[in-house]
Amino acid sequence: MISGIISFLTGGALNLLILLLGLLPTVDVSALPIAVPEPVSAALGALNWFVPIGDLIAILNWWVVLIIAANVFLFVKRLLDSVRK
Amino acid sequence: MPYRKLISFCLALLLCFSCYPVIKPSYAFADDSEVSLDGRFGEASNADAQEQHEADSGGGEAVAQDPAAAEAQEVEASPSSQELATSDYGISLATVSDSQFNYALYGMLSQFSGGVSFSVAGHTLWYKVGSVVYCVAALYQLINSYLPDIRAYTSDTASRLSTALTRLSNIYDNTNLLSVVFGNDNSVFNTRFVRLLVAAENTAKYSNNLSEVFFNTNSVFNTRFVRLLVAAEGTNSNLASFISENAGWYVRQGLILGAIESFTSENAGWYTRLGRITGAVENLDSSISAFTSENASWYTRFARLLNASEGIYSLLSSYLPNLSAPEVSVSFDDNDLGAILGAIDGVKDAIMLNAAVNFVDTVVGDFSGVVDAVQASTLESTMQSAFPFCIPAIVKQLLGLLQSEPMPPTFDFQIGGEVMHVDASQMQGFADIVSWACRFMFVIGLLFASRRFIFWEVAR
Repeated sequence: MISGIISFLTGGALNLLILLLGLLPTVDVSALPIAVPEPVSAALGALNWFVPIGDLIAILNWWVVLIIAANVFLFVKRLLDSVRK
Repeated sequence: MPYRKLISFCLALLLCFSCYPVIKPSYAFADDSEVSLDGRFGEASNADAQEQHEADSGGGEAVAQDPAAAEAQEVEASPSSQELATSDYGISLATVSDSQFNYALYGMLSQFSGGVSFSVAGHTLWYKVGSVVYCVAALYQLINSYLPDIRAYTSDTASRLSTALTRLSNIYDNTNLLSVVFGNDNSVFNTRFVRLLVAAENTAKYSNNLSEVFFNTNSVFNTRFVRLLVAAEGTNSNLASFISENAGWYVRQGLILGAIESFTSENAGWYTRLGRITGAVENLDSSISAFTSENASWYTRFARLLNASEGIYSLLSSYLPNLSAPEVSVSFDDNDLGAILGAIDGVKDAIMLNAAVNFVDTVVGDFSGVVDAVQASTLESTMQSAFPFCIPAIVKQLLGLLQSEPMPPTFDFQIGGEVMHVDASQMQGFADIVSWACRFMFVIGLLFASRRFIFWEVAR
């Protein structure tokens, strides 16, 4: 029962968030005309040998997820505090 | 090409001599006009002719001094070309433009040494020679003007002839095709015709088969018909044998009647057996009566059984007073009791836990589906495309462009004509240290930068 209520509230909040995000201007990331030139791509193997760019991207993904989670948690906490007052 | 020019020149020369009397009257030059070798007409003695010519040609000097410019200038209604057009030969010559006419005339006059003026009058020979040279030049121009058309016509004729030959070749091929279809023994037509003949022969053969089947003495039809007749005769004989007294059917019928007769006679086996059954029933009745009579042995035995039962009862009655409640002392060890109580408590706890779990499941429910996966993926894709939340996605894509399979760098240097190959794969340890240092520094940098990306203040 409680999970159903929470699911209902979460679904509504997500739908509201999707609606608000839909009002923002959109940028198609995959359509950006950015490509690595051929000489650079040939040297990327050597660069990745010293700088593990794939691992750095994975670390960046986790960091972004944690930052978003922290912001959401603090937002909810502040909302609850304001309701108590 | 020189041959063509030579032949053209000879033909033109011949035509000029033959046609000279025809075109002679069409010339506009009077016998008393003066012709200067630099192309001026009637400059000294015939001013009217000069004015007329200048008016027509738009400047004789310009024509004489610059033939190309004279070609560019269109001279309208030149008297000479108009008069030339009055004769049959002049009709073809009239197709030559006036500028070409003037150029040809200039060419004719330039055959002689320039700057010398002479009068046509009194110089009939020169007049004739000049006229002939003019005609040659005009015809040469005319032939040259027609040469492209002749070339085009020849080329077109050659292409048409090639097309005709191609079509003839196709017709020849088609002829071969017709021969393939109709002519050869193995052709399609012949093959089908042979099949048709075979079919006709088979039809004729079937006709023979019909005659063999129906009309010959030994034909299939006749044979079967004979068999049918024989079968009919056999049936007739069988019917006759069936009806006759000695027939098998009659004998069997008689046997059946005899059996029935033996069944109904008193001495028959079944009658004897029925008598035995009746006797057995009678004996049974006597047995029942013997069983139910007071003197029967059965009654005697039942009485004995009752007496025995009474004896058993009396015996039991004598023993019953001696029976009393036994003194049983039950003692439990505390350990056993504790184990039993523990087990009972375990059962109780299990029941309570099960009830509590059911209660919690009912009240709380399953949190695994609190966030819809479809909504989450929609939110993720929307955030990756909505500005400014798409900035991390763009940064990720930019960094992804730099991602590649790590490979040790190799270099080739040209030193003094020799190739020096440098392979950095021996520096694997150094590369590992650098890569781990990069990871560590990146994490440290993100930790320090995290505070700037927390947009909600922590309550204190």
